[in-house]
Amino acid sequence: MNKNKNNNKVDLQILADKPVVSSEKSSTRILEISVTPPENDKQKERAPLNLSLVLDRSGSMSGEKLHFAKQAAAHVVDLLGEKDRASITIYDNTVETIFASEFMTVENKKEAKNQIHKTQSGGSTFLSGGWLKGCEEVARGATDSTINRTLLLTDGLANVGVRDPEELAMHSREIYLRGVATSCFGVGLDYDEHLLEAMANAGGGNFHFLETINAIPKEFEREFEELVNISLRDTEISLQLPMGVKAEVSGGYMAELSKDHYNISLGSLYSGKPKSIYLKLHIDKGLENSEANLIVTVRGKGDGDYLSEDKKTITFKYVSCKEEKAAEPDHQLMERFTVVEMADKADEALKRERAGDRVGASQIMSRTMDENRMNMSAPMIDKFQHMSSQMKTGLDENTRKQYHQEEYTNKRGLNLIRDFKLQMVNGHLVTQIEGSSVLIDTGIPISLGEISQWHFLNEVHTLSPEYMGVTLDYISKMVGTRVDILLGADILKQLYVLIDLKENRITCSKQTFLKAENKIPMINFMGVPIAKLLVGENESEVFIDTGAKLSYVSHTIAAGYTPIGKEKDFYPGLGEFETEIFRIPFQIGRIKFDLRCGILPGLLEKAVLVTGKSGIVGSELYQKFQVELAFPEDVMYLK
Amino acid sequence: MTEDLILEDLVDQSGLSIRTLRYYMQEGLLPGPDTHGKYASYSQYHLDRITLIQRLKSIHLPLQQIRHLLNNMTMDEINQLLSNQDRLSPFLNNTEGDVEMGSPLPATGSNALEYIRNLEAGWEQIQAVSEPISIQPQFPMQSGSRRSLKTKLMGQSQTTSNLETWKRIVIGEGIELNIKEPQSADEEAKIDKLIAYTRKLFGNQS
Repeated sequence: MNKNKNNNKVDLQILADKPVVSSEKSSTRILEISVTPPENDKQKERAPLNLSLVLDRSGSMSGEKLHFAKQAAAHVVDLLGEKDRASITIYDNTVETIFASEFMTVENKKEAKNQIHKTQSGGSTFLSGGWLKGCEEVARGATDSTINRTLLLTDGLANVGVRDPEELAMHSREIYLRGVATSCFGVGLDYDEHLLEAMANAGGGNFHFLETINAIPKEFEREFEELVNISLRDTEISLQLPMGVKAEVSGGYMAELSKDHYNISLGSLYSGKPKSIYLKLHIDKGLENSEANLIVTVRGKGDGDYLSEDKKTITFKYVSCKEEKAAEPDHQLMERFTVVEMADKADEALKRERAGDRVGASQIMSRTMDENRMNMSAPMIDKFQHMSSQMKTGLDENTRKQYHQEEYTNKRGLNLIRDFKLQMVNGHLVTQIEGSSVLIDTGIPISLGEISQWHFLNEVHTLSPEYMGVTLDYISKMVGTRVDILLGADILKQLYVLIDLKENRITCSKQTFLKAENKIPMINFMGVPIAKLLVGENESEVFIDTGAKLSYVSHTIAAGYTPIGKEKDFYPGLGEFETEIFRIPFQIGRIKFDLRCGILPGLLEKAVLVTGKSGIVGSELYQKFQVELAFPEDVMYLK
Repeated sequence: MTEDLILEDLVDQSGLSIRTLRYYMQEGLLPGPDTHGKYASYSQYHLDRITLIQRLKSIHLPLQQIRHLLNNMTMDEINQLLSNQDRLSPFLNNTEGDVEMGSPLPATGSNALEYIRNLEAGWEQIQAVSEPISIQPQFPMQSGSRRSLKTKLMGQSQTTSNLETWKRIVIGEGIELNIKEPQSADEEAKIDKLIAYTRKLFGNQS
């Protein structure tokens, strides 16, 4: 990387799998182009936003979906400042702009929210009309300095107006080239993910899959957070292709060949956050030249419409066919490229599978895996093998959308974030993942399930039928609700897990999201997380066990407190037991709180004490705080 | 030209890919080849039809509408439609690929607005031109004959009101302003003032 990088300017880096090409026959090279946009000056005011919120209010949206969509729109209105503009358009078989584009003054915000709350569900889905009207409202309020975007939310197939994905993507592209971007939000399982992705890709925006209805406001907030962090708009990469060189971008980016320039549209980039894209270059055999030079330029609009640009040249040396073959490729680059290449092919296979061509879909997967196996990690091979075998028998709508979303994030280099509805059932954290009832349990080092292979968050995981003789039937009986999968510490330890009982939501990702002030180090002890905190007066190490309905301390700690009652609990391998309950003060950093604690039965207490730990913090913690368990960083954040 | 053409000739002369040409045939935009001889053969008619499809695509018509026009209009009617469209669409001069690296992107806002309005107006124009040939037994001509045609073009029975869009602006409880769209930029500015004034007048009550 360029160590002298100027933070106010866009930075371009180019890498190739090999620095040479054959002089005797044509070669294919893989190019990685990384663009780091400038960092926004935190002292300066951000660029004003100019948004249109377009909400589907067709019949299928009625009930909870429309409720959360309205809440999401109102939430975005709340987040906007007085210099931002917004409009609200709703559509069923007709289109209605219920709040025309206005600056978001206090009065206008009130009026916009008023109109949002009055919205009721109606008839069919005139997606093209609603979207176009939203774009029109954005266009009306656009200036050179505004960030212009239409946010389109739908839960169904467009059944009125223009429905052809190719057509809608083309118009989305044309409107984007004229300054108005489009992001799409698909809710539930009935919309066409390929249409929405095509519109978002062509429209320079994002595509969001919202499987959990109560996550709609959160997802809008994520889009908003990205919008306020944009530091480079209308970003384009241009390759000046010498004679005999052809380029093909991976990852579904819009690209155009104009004379000898291959122009790739990257859309908006976020403050200091690098973006990498991959290209296949087809280079003819060398003629009289000894090298081929490729000039790459990146250009975008920065702060205040200021044009930011960087230019680099990459040179390929012509060598004999034998030397070209012998040159060692950059394996890490090839692994990164393969993630995008596989995502592109998986997307193609998913389209085939949706169209009913299961054999064709599975064949695409097998062929692409054979071609790329040497650059794929073991979990990646497992995942695509699993996907390929599922395609042979056909996917259900939920699985299709999961895979589509995962591959969308893989090809775009985005963080895959999944939200699920979370409930506290008899003191246990139970969530719904793709139709399965899942118990979140950091206290058990392995995950359990009746199926042996479980696809979750871009990987296939192995599940065991039991742990220490305890089956899911027994756990279900003890928890008091059906548990299909126990999500244990083996899978959780790879993830960032945000538990938010106030919003009844659990969010899982492979990148952090909360980073609250109250940071507590965690240590992995025999596969189970432990944290150091004050229990009563003593600094102690305790197990962080999301699966325990009660917290526990040693009988010596409890001795100083008066029991407030008795309660039953269970532990795998030990069965059911009863304990006295005490209210014990805890302190983490400057935060003080009480937890209802029991005393573990003798044998179990000995087992805990022998490890040098003083107790267990159970699920009550999550009723008091929003908690992020950042396992990859061995840290816990409280908010 | 009566000479038989093979698929590769169509590719060379039209500049389109085999995949696109097959897609057009599959979608009923282009007739299939003559398969009476030893090889599948094509004619000048295919090339003319491809030119027409490309021309209709350039005015941003959806493929389903192109298919409808090709199957229901004469050559003269289509030419009339295209010449009307040329007068209507300034963005036709801004064909794909013209936005080159190094040249600034079009000015924000106004160009997008023009595109959107042309798109809406363009669809209206297509429907108006094709109206006289639309009489079909299954779509009886009534006072709403144009609506029937629109319906057919849009492929839906519920779309009639979509093509005339009204913006409803709620001023206060029981008070609304309804504006037919699109309006000119001058009118829009006046309407904005009117909204601001009426909201002030009614104290933004709602």
